Amino acid sequence: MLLRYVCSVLTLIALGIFGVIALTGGALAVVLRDPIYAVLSLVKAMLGLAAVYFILGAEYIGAIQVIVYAGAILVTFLFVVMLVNLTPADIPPLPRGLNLYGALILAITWMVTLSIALKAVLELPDPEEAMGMPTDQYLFGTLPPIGKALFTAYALPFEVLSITLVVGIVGASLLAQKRHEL
Amino acid sequence: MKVELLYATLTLAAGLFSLGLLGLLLRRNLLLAFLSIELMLNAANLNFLAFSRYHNEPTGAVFVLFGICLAAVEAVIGLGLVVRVFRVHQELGYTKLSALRW
Amino acid sequence: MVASYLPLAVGLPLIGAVVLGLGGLWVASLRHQRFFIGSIATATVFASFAIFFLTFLSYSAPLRVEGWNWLAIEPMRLRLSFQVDTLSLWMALIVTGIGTLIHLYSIGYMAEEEGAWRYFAFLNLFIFSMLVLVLADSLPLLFLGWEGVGACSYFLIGYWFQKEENAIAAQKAFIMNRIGDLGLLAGMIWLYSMTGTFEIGQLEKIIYPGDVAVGVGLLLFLAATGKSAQIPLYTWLPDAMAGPTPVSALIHAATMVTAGIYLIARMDFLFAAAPEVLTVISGIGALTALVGGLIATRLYDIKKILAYSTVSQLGFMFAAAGAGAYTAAIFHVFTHAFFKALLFLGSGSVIHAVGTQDIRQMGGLRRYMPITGWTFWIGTLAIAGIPPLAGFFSKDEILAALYARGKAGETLYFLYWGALLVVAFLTAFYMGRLSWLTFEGSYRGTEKPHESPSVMTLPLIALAVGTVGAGFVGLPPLLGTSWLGQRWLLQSVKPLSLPPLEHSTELFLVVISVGVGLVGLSTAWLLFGKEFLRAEYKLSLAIGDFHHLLSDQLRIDKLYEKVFVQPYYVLSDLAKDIWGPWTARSLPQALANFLYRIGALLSRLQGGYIPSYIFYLAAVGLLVLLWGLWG
Repeated sequence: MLLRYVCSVLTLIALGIFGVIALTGGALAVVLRDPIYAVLSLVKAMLGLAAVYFILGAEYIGAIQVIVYAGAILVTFLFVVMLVNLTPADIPPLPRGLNLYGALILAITWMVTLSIALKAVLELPDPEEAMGMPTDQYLFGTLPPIGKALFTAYALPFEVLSITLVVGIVGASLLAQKRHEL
Repeated sequence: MKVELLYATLTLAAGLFSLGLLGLLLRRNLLLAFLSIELMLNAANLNFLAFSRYHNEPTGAVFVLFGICLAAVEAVIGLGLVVRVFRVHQELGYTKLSALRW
Repeated sequence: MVASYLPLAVGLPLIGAVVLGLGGLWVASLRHQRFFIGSIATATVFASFAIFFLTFLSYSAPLRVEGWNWLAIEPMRLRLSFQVDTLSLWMALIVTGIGTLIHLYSIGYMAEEEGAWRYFAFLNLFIFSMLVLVLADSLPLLFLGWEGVGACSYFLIGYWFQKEENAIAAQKAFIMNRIGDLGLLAGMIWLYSMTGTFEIGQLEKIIYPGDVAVGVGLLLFLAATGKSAQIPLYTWLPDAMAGPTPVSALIHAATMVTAGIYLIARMDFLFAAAPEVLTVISGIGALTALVGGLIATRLYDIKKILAYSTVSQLGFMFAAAGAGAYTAAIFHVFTHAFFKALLFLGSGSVIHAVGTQDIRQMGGLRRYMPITGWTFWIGTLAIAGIPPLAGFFSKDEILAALYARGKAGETLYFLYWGALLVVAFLTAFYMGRLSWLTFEGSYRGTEKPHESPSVMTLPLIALAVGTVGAGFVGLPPLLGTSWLGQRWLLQSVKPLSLPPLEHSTELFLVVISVGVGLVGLSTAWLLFGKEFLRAEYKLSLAIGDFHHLLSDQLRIDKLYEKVFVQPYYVLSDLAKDIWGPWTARSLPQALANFLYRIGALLSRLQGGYIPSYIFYLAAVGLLVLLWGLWG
């Protein structure tokens, strides 16, 4: 019992550490003027998030997060930054009085979104009572249940998603053509 | 203990979302606006996973998977557009892009 | 065994209609094969008749032909299925039997017509609709057939649509019928809302509270007056004579117009709970019979005379149905189908021969066309109620039923009985007048008359045989048991019980009704059999204004014109002058201006400055979230 308690406290602490990493990464991505640095900060945020996913028990999603987000998407961002040769000089400076307005906006949105989420939580049933499941093992993020859900209940969205990917590929190559008049 | 974990995760997600929104409002550059949107998407994914863990049910994870795929598509298309816009205007600061006005 | 062919019996005329209709529409060369087209149409109806006849021979218990699901909107489930019981089978036999003969006759009658394919396709479609009507086991399906026969009647009355008056007559028939249909629709929905079922078999088992029975009964009777040409909706039937004569014979004499009687006999359980409605039905029937009979005495158009005679005979049937003697009504439907079809086809033969419908230009035709002449005389005697022809038996049964009802304490029915006796006299009189003026004396026309081809005379002979023999299925109690009334129809129809009459009373009734018929005929003979047209002038002078009133068909049409049509025009003019301009110009203009202003206002939001768009987006998103928090 005690062990269990210690374990969950440790989980919380780990979550806090990686959460702070992700948050600082996000904040730097928003604030830094040099686009290269901004993208790299976002990579940091993504990696922090991936760690959070692992802590939550979603190993598979964490891995995907590292591969797709940190690996593929943000690398594309970097490519584009280099392709259009974006330098700090191209970025308009942040408006004056950012500290005040930015903090205000941040506070308001954070409060609103958080209170929405908490309201939802308060309406939740207690899972242990409602479902009577053992909660020691968290299997939701492992491959077998995801695969099962993907190929049974969500087979159609899954197929539609593949079509969307094809459309994305075709669209991107069309957009990136050099001498194509739109 | 579960609920505490949920609260912590949700707080983190809300923070990331707010940062993304802030970036979207402040950075007047197409590329950086995109970056902020990615941040907001990730916040949403984190919410999904938090509740998925709470219920110990894979549906949320499945939706995160879908979300990541769609984010990839969106990034590809969006960045293609960014490149396109840059070629036409030599400019990514969107305060000056006003051709779509009425 | 035979039952498995029943869907075919219903479907064959439809197949014929579709094949002929589409074939004629798409294959131009087929249109000239008129004999071929007519043969196909006749063959489908005859095959249908044969199946029904075999079913009739092997009939032991009601059959159901299960169809497929039609409407399944829970909790309402509606199946397309047919019910073959004694009543519906009997009607189906009449429809297909008479229908076959009239199809056959039409081959000759329409031999010169360009649009014969159209004619036969609609004729077949009519037979199909009529079969759906009589065999339907639920009210919506019956309604489908009901509308189907109305539509076919519209198409066929307007067959020669190139002439405007025919098209108008067709529209008149259709609109009059629509008024009645509204009654059927409303009654049907009312019944459904009370009982939750449309199936006649289910409805039968329910005991109805009096007010519902009266309301629904009156609505159904309104429907019946529309289809069966009773007061106040009868005026379409005489105009319907604009169609080809076989159509008049089939639709407007023998089959479609009897749908109202059929409806009342089918829904007998409902009317049993509403004796007030039955009194109304009888009264309307007797009044219609009287009006129709009176008008028929003063007309010169051979088809119009027969049309009013039909109205009058339908009045007889309604009077019987109103007395609760549904079997007598159906019996009269049966016999009337024979002799009225015979008379109409005979008139068609005459029109075919002399090229006019005016009896003042006929006369002495029996010498030129003996078959037509003799069979027409048989029809005349039958409708006048001379024994042992068919009309005598059914008319006698109706009169006896009314008398018995009167004797049972409802004295109003004595009045109806008296009125119908007068009509019986009138019937004999105007039919005698028609026959003498047409077939006896000397020819007054110009065109050389000739007998019709055998394809036309054959149905005449067959119908004449039927006219002689048909009455024997319903012998009066004086002579034996009525097979039709006591054995056959009783299995599915429940007439109200009447006190049995004594034999002496019955003999007295028979003598009176036959006597009245004979008096009518001899009056006609005294006047027209001796002096022909001169008597006509004398008579019209003698009754003066009344003659004009009658030959104008009581000016009911003009009354309807004044009461319904003119106010409608006034309303239309108002709409044209006030409502129309307002809705077409002022209102849209005002709306457009309003929207334009709003658009101008909103367009300021779209300034082309993207950060402001993002700000709207974020602000609205947060507001929506806040709203969710608050809600």
